[in-house]
Amino acid sequence: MENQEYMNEQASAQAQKNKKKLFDYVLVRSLYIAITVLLAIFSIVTAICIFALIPSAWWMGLALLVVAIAAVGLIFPVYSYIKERIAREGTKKRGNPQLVGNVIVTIVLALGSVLMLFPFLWMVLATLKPHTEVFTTFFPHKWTLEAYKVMWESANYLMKGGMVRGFANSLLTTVPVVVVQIVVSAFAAYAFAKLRFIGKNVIFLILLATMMIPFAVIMLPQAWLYGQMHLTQGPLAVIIPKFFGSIGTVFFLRQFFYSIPDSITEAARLDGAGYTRTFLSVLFPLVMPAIATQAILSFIGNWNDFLGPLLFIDNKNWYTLPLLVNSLGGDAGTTEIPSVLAASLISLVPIIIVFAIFQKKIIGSIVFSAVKG
Amino acid sequence: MQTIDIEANTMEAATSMDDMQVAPEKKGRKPNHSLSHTLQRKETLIGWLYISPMVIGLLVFTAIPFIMSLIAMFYDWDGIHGLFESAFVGGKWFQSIFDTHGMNSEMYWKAMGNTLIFAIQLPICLVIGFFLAIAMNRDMKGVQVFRVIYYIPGVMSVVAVSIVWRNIFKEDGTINQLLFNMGVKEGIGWLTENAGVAFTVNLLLVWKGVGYSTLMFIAGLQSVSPDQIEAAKIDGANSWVILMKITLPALYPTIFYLFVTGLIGALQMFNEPYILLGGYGTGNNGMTAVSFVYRCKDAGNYGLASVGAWVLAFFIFIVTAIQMYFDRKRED
Repeated sequence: MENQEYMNEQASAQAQKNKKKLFDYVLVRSLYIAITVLLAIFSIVTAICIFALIPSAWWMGLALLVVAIAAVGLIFPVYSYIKERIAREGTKKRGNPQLVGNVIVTIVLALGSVLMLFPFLWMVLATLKPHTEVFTTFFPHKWTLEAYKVMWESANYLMKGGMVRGFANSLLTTVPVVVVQIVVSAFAAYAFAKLRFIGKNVIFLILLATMMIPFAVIMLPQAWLYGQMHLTQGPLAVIIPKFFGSIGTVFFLRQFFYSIPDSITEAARLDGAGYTRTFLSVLFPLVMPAIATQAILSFIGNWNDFLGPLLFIDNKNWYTLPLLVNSLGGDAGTTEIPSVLAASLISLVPIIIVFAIFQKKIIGSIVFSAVKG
Repeated sequence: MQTIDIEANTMEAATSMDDMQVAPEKKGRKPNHSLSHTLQRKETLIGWLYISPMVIGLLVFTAIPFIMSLIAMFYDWDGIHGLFESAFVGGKWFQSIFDTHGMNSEMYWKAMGNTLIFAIQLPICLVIGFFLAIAMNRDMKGVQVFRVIYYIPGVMSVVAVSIVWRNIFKEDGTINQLLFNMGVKEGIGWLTENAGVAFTVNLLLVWKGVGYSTLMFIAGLQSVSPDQIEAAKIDGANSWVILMKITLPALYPTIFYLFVTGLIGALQMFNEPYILLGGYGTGNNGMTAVSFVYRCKDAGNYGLASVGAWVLAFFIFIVTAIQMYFDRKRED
């Protein structure tokens, strides 16, 4: 009896060990070929870029080409080495078995990151060049802030108040919207999750159904409607309708309210708190993280919104930053390219700040929605 | 709990307020009927108060335009005068969309075709995202940084990003200059030729979208059980088989969700092609279905726009219906 138990223990310990190795085996072997080929392609592309854009750095391109050839050439020996090593690991313990895979994955992901960030890097460098060398050089020969000056002037020419006004318009159409929308949606989500009242489920189903209506269907009648309400000559057409809450946010927050036990709200009610007080002082703090996440996502979405303002703002003086940037860089736009890019960069600054501060929350919310969906 | 609520509410809706006493006793409801009656009334009042902004917003800003667009399909509405001040034209707009050799139908179906062409990025995003997720789903230093970096293009302003791409790919832009330097005589019309537009727009969309699908796949990978992989290994499966037979099937729900929501989004594409090409492109080769509707605003042809939008909505509803069908099937 005892002997058998001991055997069982040993078997489970062995299984634990195998588990670790197994994971490794899957990753290293299945990814190796793909990773190497990608590495080679990235190196070749980067090398060509270097040859063409910075001929003086030909040695750098040559080095990358060597890396590419070496990567492809090494496929077979390394692959068989990994295979052999995995085979040996059954009997002998070796150093960190994940190391080879980690190094390869890091290199590939780093090269991919360069591709992902390349347009941003190009944009930043282009704003620091004189307009004659935008396309001919990668690094500016002559560093200048001319582009920002030109941008300032052409923005002033386009609309009263220029860049400052554009920025203010964007803030005006974003911050109040986010605040009011979240509060209204939170109250509605609370009602849908925690209160019992006649017609609740019918209304909720109708709200969900309206989420399926494509924007293309209602956008032109909406534009006409806002025109009739005299909203389109100012920023109000992109502000007022959003004050009435967002169904997506209600749906999201409702899940959070459901996860709070009824006993908490009932306790508050027994202590004599009204519905509003129960919500504000008991539930609101509990769902604060979810509300913050929704506020951040809403901020990014509203700041970046293009089609809404394009349809609903007829007065150039109330253009938000995306519209202003688009008008500067439009087809008829005679504005010099570095200054258009400078305007683009300025319009990105708030998003970059928000994303840098809250990236954990933003990415967490995506993972949450994935688990839910 | 949810079903109890639905039952209770339908019953309440069906009976008048005076019949409340005969409503079934719900969990924890006090036997004192008059008290529960008052409480119920108060809760209904408060509940409706809290959702009233949503309901008003729905009625004014969604329901009215929705009904108007339904009616506008049969009117020659210019969007300046009122809807009913304009002339009733019957099926004229349907005819001009479905007519085989009308100018409008040619443009509309070309726009539809372009919309589908710009959806090619979707499977590409999924495949690249799948492999990136497997690469990033490991216990490794700096992997969090990569997740953030790959997601950055997705959150940045579509206008700013598209303007950058436009300057990189335009006639005398960076890529063509690079080709000139390499000795190519004539640059490629990345933003003018049909194939060039299809390539550039799809590339931009992959670049923007791949981070999102990667994150979704990383979340989905948490559901792959290590025990199953272990069992497969003991049975002698190699890594490719494990990837295809265990990891991939575990991600089917994520793939399905990403594909369907992505397709619904792709059918409503507007921003990227519009900004990248500075309008509808050479010979409308960058026009999407939503661009077609938007173009009707300037042309003052709201009736045609409504028919165009509803045909698009029809396709979107089909995709949604398929999604709902398979969702229900999976839950059973």
